[in-house]
Amino acid sequence: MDSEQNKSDIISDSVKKKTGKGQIVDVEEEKIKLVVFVLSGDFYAFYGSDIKEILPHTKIFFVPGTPDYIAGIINVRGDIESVLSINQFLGLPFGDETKGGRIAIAEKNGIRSGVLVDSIEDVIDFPVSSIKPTLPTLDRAKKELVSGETIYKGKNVTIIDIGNVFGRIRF
Amino acid sequence: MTALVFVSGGIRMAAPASGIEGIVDMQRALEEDAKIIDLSTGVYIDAGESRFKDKKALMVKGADKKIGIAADDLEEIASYDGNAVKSLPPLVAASGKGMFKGAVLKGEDVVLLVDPCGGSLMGWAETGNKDSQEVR
Repeated sequence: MDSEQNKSDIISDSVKKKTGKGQIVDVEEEKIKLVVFVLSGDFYAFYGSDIKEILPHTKIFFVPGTPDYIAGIINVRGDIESVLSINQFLGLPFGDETKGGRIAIAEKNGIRSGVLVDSIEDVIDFPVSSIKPTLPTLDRAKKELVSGETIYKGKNVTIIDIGNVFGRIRF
Repeated sequence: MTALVFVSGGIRMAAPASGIEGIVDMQRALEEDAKIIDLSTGVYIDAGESRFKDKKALMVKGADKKIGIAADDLEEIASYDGNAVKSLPPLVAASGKGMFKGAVLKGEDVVLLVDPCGGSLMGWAETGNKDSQEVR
């Protein structure tokens, strides 16, 4: 009986070696870093590679003669940066620029600017497979800015390509 | 660079002294048919507007017509070296009306640097249409 059991084990091990069954192979899924933030109560996200810095809300100096989406300019360690409000591009009401929030410094396609957000939720790696294309029912103006959607804490997150926002600004 | 730092519509601005001919009472300037611009709104001031009754106007040098910039408050005359003058960020410079040629830092604050002899300000004075001057 013991010798038969041993024979059986030897055969089983040999088969496993040949077929590779029983071997555990670690496959790491491709991930992408997103900066999740809140605007008008909803979750949105920028690609992490596009965000250079996140600043606490600071005094914004209004520049007369600029369009509504230019909130103004700020002093960042002796350099002057512009600050955008992207609410109108997303069909959202204008936020209160004097009331807290954060400024995300974004840079893409050679353009750099701060972007006003209500709050920063998280900076987190999402599996690429979790990012879905935008709904075809989304309105055209918004669709041009949105590159996908995902889920965070059970809620929908709209992913915005900041390069497309910069491209929307008419020079 | 020596600049006159003033406040207009709650916004702190600076005008290079080399571009300013003089500072006059607003009322007198309007009575002499000068075109006075409120840079905080981009609108010409009417003689009847009470908000500016006791204010000053910075008269622009070298203009064919009498052109001035409204000032609610004159704060100081300050000297800035070349390094203190910063360019406006590209998104602001490109989308604005060209009234400002840069900014200077005053502590943590940013002071907009007016371009009194620049094309945009002079161009505004040339059109003379109040409605077209409203920028926001």
